[in-house]
Amino acid sequence: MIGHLKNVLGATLVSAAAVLLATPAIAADGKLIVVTSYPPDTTTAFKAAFEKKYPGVKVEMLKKKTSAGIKYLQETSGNNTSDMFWASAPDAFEVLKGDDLLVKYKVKVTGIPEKVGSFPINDPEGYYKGFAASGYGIMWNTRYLKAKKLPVPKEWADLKKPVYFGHVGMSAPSRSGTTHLTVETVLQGEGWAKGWAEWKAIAGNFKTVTERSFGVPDGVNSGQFGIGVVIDFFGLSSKASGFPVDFVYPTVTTLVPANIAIVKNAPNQHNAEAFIEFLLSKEGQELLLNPKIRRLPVNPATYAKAPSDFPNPFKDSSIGSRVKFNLKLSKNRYNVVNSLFDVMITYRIDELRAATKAIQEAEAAMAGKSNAAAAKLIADARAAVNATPITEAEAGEEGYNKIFKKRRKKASVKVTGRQAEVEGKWDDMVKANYARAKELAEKAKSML
Amino acid sequence: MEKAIQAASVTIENLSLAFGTTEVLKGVNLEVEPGEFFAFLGPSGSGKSTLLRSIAGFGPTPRGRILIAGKDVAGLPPWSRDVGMVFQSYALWPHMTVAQNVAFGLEERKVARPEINDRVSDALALVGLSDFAERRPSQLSGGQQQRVALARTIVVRPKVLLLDEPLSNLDANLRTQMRREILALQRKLKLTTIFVTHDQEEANTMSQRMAVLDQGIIQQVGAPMELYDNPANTFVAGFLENRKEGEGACIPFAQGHANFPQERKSRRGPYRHSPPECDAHRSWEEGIEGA
Amino acid sequence: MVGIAIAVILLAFLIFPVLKVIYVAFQDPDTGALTLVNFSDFFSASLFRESFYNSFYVASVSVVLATLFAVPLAYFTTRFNFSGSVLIQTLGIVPLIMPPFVGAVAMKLLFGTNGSVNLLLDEWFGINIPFMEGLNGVILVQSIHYFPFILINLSAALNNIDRAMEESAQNLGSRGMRLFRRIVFPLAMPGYLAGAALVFIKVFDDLGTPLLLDVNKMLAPQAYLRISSIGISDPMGYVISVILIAFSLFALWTSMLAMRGKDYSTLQKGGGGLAKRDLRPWEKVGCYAVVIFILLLVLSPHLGLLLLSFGTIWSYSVLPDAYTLAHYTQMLASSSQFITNTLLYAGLAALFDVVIGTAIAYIVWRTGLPGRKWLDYMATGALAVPGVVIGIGYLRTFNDVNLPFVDGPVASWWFVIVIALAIRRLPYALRACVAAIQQVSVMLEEAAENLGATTQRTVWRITVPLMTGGILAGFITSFATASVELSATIMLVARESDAPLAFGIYEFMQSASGRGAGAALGVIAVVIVTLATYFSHRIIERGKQRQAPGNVVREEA
Repeated sequence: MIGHLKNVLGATLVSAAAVLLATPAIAADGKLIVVTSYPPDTTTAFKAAFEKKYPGVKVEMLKKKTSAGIKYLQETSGNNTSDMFWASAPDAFEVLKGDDLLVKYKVKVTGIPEKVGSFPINDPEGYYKGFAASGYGIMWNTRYLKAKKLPVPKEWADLKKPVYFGHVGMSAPSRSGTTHLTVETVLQGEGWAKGWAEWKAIAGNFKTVTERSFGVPDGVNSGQFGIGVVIDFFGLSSKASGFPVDFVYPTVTTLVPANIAIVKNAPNQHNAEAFIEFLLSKEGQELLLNPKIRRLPVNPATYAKAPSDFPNPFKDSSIGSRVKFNLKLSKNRYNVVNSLFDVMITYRIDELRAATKAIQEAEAAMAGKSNAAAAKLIADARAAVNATPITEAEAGEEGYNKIFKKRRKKASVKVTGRQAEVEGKWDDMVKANYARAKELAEKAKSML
Repeated sequence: MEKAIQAASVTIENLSLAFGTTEVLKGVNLEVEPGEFFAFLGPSGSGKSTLLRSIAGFGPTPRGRILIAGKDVAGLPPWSRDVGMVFQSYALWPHMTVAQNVAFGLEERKVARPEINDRVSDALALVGLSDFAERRPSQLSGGQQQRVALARTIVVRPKVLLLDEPLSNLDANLRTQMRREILALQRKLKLTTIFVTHDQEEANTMSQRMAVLDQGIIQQVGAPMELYDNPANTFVAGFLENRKEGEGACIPFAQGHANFPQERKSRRGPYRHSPPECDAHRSWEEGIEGA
Repeated sequence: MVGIAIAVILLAFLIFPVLKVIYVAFQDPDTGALTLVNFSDFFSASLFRESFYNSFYVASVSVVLATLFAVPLAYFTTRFNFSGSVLIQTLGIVPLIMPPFVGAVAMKLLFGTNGSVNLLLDEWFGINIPFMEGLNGVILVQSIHYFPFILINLSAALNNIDRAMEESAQNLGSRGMRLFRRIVFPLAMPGYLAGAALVFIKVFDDLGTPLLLDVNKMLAPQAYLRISSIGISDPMGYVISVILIAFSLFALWTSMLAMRGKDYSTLQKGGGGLAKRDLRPWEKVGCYAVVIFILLLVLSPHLGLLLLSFGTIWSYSVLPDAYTLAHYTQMLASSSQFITNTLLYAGLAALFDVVIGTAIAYIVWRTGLPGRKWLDYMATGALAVPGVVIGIGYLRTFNDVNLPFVDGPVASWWFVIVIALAIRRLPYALRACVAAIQQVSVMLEEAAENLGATTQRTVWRITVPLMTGGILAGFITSFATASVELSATIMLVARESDAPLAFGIYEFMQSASGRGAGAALGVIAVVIVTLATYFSHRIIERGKQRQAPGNVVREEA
């Protein structure tokens, strides 16, 4: 470790020298510290290829969940040691951009189009760049579905069916940037109220809400639950690793670029620039086709080298073109959506499941019969489950969002209400509603 | 203790015992009369403690027969033998009060609660500790602990009382006193009593008869004076002779046998402190008179 | 001088960061003024109340379950002539040296809803037992992981009971369960309580296992989630930290109260440990059945891990589809850094622990320094500080501190991980050192001083050599447990090249193709730590034999 210390010292001196000499060309020496949410399969492949191309540079991948990565960059901003932020969710980059933690960079590589699906590949303001596209979809364990005699789900709506009760898994948006995007996509596509109703109907079938986004493919891979809501590369790379799983893009999905950006005051800016150029180069793009990585390249030319079953969003317009994703809307209510999901679903999954079970049973009993009173009770139960503590307007309101932003740099910033206090009130309401829904549905069933 | 205890005889027939390959008892034969106060005397590692423990049913099962009041107890576990034993360390349970310690054996025998209470207070009165019933053992002196241990054993009215080095953990003054008390108690209860000691002084003053052991073999059995006057062999003569030759000689053999772990702790025991008693050669009767 | 240095270290790296955390908990998030509003928010939110209840419930039931595992193993091996006693005792400690979250992954595959056991149960009897559902899973994994604390302490207590204690009860007619219930167990109670309190605190504070099992309605995960997904300035994380500390201190204090004046083991002189009895054949069969069942259960995480590391694909099936060595080659290609880092961090941390532990033990037992007991209390207090809190406290305290020779803020320097590990494991090493110094007779030191040795020379040439066994025991415990620690390090690792094993496994386990490699690394971790522990034990044993004459002197004293 003394050797390590020496390396650090040495690297610092070398990079300092590099800055002093002000070489305009790409630095061939020093370090590159990348904060990333990507799994080792992806990071090691790019690290190895990049270090091979630039033998003097040592790349360090600092693995953080997207949300933790944002916090990390925010907390250490006064004394920054990181060069790049490399993750999927563009809204995470929006948050960093909003906090003035990124710098602009103009890419030199050519051949990358403006949009993939309906989504602009690069930040129009030039702070972060898309290097690959990802879409959300459904993965399932083929052995599991066969053993439990379950049909293969194709659409989000399928996941609401009673047949999948207790078989679905998903991560929480507050833990996983990609999941946040999935949640937000549905909220934007279906509208606030209907979107949340959709999520709760799906969540009622959840077996678990995982703490990490990878917990979902992990659970499906090992057969802990049969179906997972995941970002495409999790499904595709699991399949490529030999697990008995498969993946599908539902019709309503967004295809969003996975991004990279240079952190403000980066100690190794030159290397960071070189890394971006490398990612977008022909060789960098082709690395994405590696079965363990499996992301959709943003350079259409790369698809010529892809296997035949590889989805091509530039040709297949059914992938990710339905929803027009409003990034600004997403960014404004980022924390509120996370918090709402946790309060209504993550932390109350048992209660929600119980209510859903009761409603599903009542509806099953109702099938083929007509009983107006029971139908009314069931509808009331649904309404109780679906109720959200706040409206879309409130969720987007700036003052309200301030409660959820805890960057208390100046004491003069006045905020009314504390997050824990607000969440406590939501929770009381949600808990009572789920209990009532269960009661109503049970009553309806007893009438049939 | 109003009710006198039915004194029982102890007969040992051809008893042998080995720990692994080490023979500890080699064909021991012995007859202890009902109501007799009997001593096992011998140096460290002579097998005297093992013999005592065999009577109580502890340790590996020996070959041969042990009869208590004519009944063979060889196959019986310790809890069915009705033999009372006072341990060298007293073994008072620290998590129970004095009264709870004394009541334990009666509870195990499912004696009714009122009777237990009566018998416990009788027993404590007998050893002069009525006021200490609610104390914890750790709050008692060594002599008091010894008396609790005695009370705890005799309260269940055993057929035979076994004392393992009863005085070794006490200082010199207390030892003289306890010696008298034990003798008085034994006299009063007419209880067949066997005690183990490596201190010939103790054996002389307390026992009516004694057995001298060495290397797992009984060398000689008889009244103390008989053994002094007519030692059966050089070992007995040497072992008993030593004490006549002055104080220093009160430390006869121990060091040579120091490698016996079960005896090691007792090295802090009597022979270090015994000199004041060395020349006080009192007989069993004298001891009683003193009490 | 040394005393002051230690006090400064403890203040800087334990007390100050913790106080910093406590301070934030009492700060108004908007104005920064001191307030209790955060606590009122905590207790008025039903989510937090439920989390509190769940943590309490999980910790309590884990203690019960851990007791059920530990008591038979401790009792059989100390009371009966049981071939394989040493092996059983050793295997019984192995669960402790497994990163708990790795155990969780393996346990899911074996005992989950669709794990091996339930697949078999479903096939044979058509039933499914929710071993791993929700809190059940946390309880099962935690009690398996931490039960050795009870096993070790209870075995020691049982071994220290004077044999005559039991024999006198038998002599008075007691036997079997009554004897155990009325005499043996009460006498072993202090040892049991010490172990049980430790299990309670560890489970109450643990973060990794509930997190990996997707259980979030517990205190430690809530604290972590608040900090990691809302931000380091959200007061709830700090409030939860304060509650965790307060509750752990309370548990420590209660167990100390319960044990006060009950140190039975040293009360009696003479007589060895409990007599070992031969078992009758049918008893033997019964005992072995129980022991094998318990060992299978507590070693199942290791078994699962082994299968996972050699298995190709293990999905919705009783066993993996096929076996391969590929995961090991994949792991070895990229993980040597994790292994060397771990050996370095855990080794350094354990070294600090025994040095500080020995110094504190000496100061407390051999000097008259004013306030010396507080050194002991402070160091032991680290037991009550959860890893998450240390992590948060260090980030908060050292993030703005820069040292000239460190690249970046001190909080992201690898040495901070070593310090965190050392502080977290100090109580273990300290207890071992205290036990060791209590067994060294003061007379031996006085003899040396009488012959002209100064205090320092005496400590160096007499006291420390005589304490070697205890010091090594402390080193092993610190080393073995530090090398699998995650909860403090997960917050402090700033770059991958600084990451220890536990972190490396955690990372591997985040990708579909890395599961097997992560398991392989886990197997390597367990093997390394087990070997290190085994060899140190051998050294201790040899040292004990060499010091046999010293022991005699001690008994005479």
